[in-house]
Formats: sequence, C-alpha cells, structure tokens
Amino acid sequence: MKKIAVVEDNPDNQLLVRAILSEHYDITSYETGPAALEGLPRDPPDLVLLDISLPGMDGTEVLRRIRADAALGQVPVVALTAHAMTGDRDRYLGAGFNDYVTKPIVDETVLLTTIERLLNAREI
Amino acid sequence: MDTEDCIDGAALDRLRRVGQDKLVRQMIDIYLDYAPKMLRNALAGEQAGDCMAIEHAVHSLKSSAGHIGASAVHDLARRLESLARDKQFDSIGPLLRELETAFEQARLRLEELKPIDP
Repeated sequence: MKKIAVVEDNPDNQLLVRAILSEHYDITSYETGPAALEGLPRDPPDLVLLDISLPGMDGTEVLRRIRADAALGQVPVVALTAHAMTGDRDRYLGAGFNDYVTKPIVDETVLLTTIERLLNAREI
Repeated sequence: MDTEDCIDGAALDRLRRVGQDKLVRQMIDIYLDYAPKMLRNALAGEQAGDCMAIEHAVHSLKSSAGHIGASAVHDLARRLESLARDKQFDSIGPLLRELETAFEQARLRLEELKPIDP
C-alpha cells in the first residue's frame, strides 16, 4: 500500500481522515510541523496531507522546509484548509502545494480522488 | 434538516457512511472532549484581549463543529474567526456569548444522538 503522512493537530480531523483513507493507504499521523519534519525523512511517504493552520510552525512553512529537503522535495503535498475563498487556490498552488482539500470534509470522494490523481501522476 | 435540531443529521449520516456507528461515536466523543477546550481557549483569549488566540481557537472549533453537524456552532465560529482576524474586538463579545449558548445546546444534543457502545 502507498504511504500517506497526515500532518494535522485536530484529533477529530485526524480520525476522520484516517477513517476515510486507511482502507486504501498506510497512514502515519503527525500533530505538529516540527514532528513531521523530524519524522518524514525517516519514513518518507508517497504523499503528504498538510493542515495549513497548524499551531506554532504553520503549514506553509512546513511545506517550504519539505521542498528544501533533497530527499523529500518532490513528494506531492495536499493542503488541508478551512479557508476556501477566491484566490486561496492560486495562493496555495503558488506556495508549492500540489492541490488542496477544504475542511470540513463533506465529500470524502474529493479527498480520495485528489490523492489518487496525484499518486497516479507520479507513476507516469 | 429539522430546524428544531441543532445537529445536522446529514453530517452524522456522512460519518456513518464512512465508518458506521463506530466512527460516529468516536467523532462525537472526540468533539465532546476537544471542542470545550477550544471554546475555553477562545474565552481565555477574550479575557486577555488576544484576537489571535481567539482566531486560532474558533478556527479549530469551526472545523470540528462542521464535521459533527453542529451548524450554529460552525456558523458562529466562522463569523468570530473573521472578526478576530480583522481585530474587531468590540464585536466579538456578544458573538462569543451566542457561541457559548449554541455550544451547550449542541453538546446536549450530541450526548442524546451518540450511538450506544455495543
């Protein structure tokens, strides 16, 4: 199974994402940016789901450091965000995220197809 | 949606579709543990006059309330997040009072709706 790392501090978001994905993917959870940055190089995933609004080090900074890591740099990273206003999509893509999914997750198929599309693109 | 019900049944149905009654129960349990802490953080932020603390707390609460179908809590948290981001502290107090009331209503209803542990 492909591996997905979920970086998310809300326990209910973590549980829901895990419930949606764990049948199809091997899930590793991190609650903070620093924990993720420490763990990811040791256990590189095939894709990262990254909460934008983490406490302390925010998601865009975590992304920047992932992209700066030679080993991890090109891993697909999907932003998980409760912000979904006009212009946000361009901002996230401009920041280097491969895509984003809005919270609350009202349609789990959006999350699944977003992940699938990015993982399939890597295999081509 | 039954307008008398402060919990949107469709949200719980979505959770049930993903993970059956077990997920619904777990999500309600997590909400009942985690969301009060976020509300307390928001109130502490209000006491301290700290808009950023309020913003972070209601941002988390908004997401959690959305997943569990606590519509009024979600909506109030969303409005408070905007106010806090714009540093409109004077407008925040009355809305926080409404949030406290909506929160308690949702809490009681979720206790009623929680599937029984077999």
